[in-house]
Amino acid sequence: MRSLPVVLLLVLVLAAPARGAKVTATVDRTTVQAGEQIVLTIQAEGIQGSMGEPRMPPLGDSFQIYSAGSSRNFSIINGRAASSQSQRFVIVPQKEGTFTIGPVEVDADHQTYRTDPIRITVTSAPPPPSPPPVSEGETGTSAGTEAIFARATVDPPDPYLYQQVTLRIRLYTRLRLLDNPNYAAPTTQGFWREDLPARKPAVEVLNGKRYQVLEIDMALFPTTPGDLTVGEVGLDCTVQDPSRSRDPFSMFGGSLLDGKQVSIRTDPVTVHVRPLPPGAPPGFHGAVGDYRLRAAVDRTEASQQSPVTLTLELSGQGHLRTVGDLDLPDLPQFRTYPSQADQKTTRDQERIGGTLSKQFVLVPLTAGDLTIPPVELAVFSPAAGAYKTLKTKPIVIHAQAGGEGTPGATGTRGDIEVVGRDIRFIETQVPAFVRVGSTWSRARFWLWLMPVSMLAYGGFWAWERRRRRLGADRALRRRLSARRTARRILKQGENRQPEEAAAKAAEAVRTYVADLFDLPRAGLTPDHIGRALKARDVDPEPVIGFLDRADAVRFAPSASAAGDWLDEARAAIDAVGKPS
Amino acid sequence: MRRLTVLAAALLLVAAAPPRAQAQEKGSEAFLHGNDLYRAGDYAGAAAAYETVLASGWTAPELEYNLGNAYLKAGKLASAILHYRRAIRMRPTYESALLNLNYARSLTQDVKPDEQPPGRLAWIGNLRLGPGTAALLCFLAVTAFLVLGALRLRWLGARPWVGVLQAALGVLALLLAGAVLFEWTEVHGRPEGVLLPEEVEVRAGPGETYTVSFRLHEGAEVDLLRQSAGWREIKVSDRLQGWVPQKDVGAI
Repeated sequence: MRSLPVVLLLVLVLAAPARGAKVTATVDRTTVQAGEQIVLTIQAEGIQGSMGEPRMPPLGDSFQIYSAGSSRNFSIINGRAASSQSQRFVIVPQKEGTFTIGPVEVDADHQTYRTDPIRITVTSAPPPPSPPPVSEGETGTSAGTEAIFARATVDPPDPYLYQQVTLRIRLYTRLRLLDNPNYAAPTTQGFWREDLPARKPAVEVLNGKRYQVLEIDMALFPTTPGDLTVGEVGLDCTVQDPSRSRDPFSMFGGSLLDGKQVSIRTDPVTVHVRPLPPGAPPGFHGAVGDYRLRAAVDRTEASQQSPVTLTLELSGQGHLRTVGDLDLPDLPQFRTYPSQADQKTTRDQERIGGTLSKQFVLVPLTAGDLTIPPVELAVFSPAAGAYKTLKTKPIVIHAQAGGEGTPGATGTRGDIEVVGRDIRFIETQVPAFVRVGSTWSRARFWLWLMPVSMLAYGGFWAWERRRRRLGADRALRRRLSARRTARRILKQGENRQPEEAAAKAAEAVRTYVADLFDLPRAGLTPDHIGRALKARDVDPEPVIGFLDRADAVRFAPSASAAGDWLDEARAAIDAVGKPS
Repeated sequence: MRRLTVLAAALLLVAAAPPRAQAQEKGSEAFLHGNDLYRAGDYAGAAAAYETVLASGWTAPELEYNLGNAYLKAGKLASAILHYRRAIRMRPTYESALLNLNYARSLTQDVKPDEQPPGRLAWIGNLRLGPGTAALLCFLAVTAFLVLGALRLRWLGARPWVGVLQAALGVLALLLAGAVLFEWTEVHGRPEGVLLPEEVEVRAGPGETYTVSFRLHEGAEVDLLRQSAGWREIKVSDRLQGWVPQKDVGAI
């Protein structure tokens, strides 16, 4: 909602009529050497729509032209809105002479605008240059052409053993890179190699020319004295091919981004590794770097037999692999237990360093002021070119008598000392094998079984619901069981004398009608049945006729068989109909 | 007729039993042979013996664990991590495998840039049940919930404590269903792998011509993404992603 005024303003600006629209062409300079760049800017001011593609007379092979982008500007000055659009081109003259650029034609707002022609004087080109040499203070090699070349340098070129050498691989280019360069790492036999953080692309001016510089650094630590070689560095780049963009304004057709592959291989660089000078102090075990050593305790007041944690910390620049293990001198007044050690490697833009820390648990064996003497570590400092002995400050622990342990006891309770680390032993019991990839087979069985539980519950729920409904509705219960009850009575009439069968058949029909229409069974006469059937639009004749004949045969036996009576009863029941 | 059916079912069971029993027997022999070689210090031989069980199509968490041990002792760090991970995937609470995996990881060179120390909720990982147990418990909870519902319907009526108990069972069933889903996503949702060679150049695309973006070393654990003509896309972290030859990655 807050942006509404801005949007309205923009709409007003865009809708404003073109007043004083004009198109101009300018160059940053009119006199150049062949091969140098001129920036041509076509600017349209005060137009409403988009500026069309600039058109200009062909320049032949005298120039190479590249698009350098376009821009739009809106501004409001003293309440008046102004808009401008511009397109920039880089023009590189190929031979000396005087040339005319333009007039350039531009279509905008249904009109064609023409710029003034521009005269360019091109002087002769300087002799073809080669890649600039490596600067002082570094040793390295360059490869490539003046437009794009790579340089591999080492710093310092003559390090001491285990001193960091920074290998810098720089790609200088005046061409437009169409892709990230493909970098093949050099062989670095005889060195420990550590990658350094990537640097941001930079711009550097060499011999008066601007280059875009991409840099990859790595830290190398020579592990043997003598001449060591850093192998060739390979860089494969895809760059814009200027030779395919001759026709100045055909570039919009798509040839602008045509690229070509450039492979650059620098020569190997030799590093002269100096051995460490003689005169190493006692206790020197090969630590090389510029370090600080610090010692600290978690408390200076402690009871006798209660532990104090001492932390030794070595930090600075250098490869911590040269340092080895940090250790304490003999401390007869303490029982000493090495505890955890930690190592962190840090890498800033240039240097590899880190922190090595180790903790010791010290248990004062006697009461009183107990001194932890300075801890010493001999190192060789490449910065100073000399050996140094790093020392911590002495630390005094005030141990009080008594404490957690029992005075005079030979063994004291404490943390279990871990003296070695290894993996747990193999399993010795034969396992139950399963098919490969059947991790889910057991799970799948239980998941498939779950719907069975749900279906069982659903069935029980439906049965229980029906049971409740029948319990609450007597008429419904009778109606639903009417046919079953009639069948049971008919079954009793099978294999009996015709008179008895007729009686059972009549009873079955009466019972069926009584249950079906919820009538009392006792005293149900044919008249009652006839009225009940008529009331429900059922023809009573077949049922009444059957009942009359069945009653008659009880008193006047006939020749009919028992089965006939039962079948007739079934037919009469069917005539009454099924429960709804 | 009924007797015939029972007889046919028994015959079917007898006919189906031998392959599994034979596989178990052969697997047991190779497993024990591998153990003997391991004890004798022939770790490569032990690994080969364990691998024969895998090659026959059978596996077990203990087999993967022993394979991890044999490979670690034989100096094949990446293979060791791969088999420890497989053992843990089959049994997430396999303590020995977890410990040995941590040991093996401490020997690897690469540290993930965004690797965080275990947070406050790390203990939840120790509650993992594994797919089979989670599914069984979920089935039991759902069945108990339904049985209690049936009892309420017919016999227990609207007693308050029964309602509370059934609600608790319902919540438990939902939690266990979530656990089953979690186990499913762990196995099927996020394929992972271990890099096998000593050093691998991770490239920006699936081919030797693409830029080397970064390097990884033996035993690095990565997420597996797309495949393309013998190359596999891997992801180390949100910022580190690229392609390596398929043969250089072992899928967990």
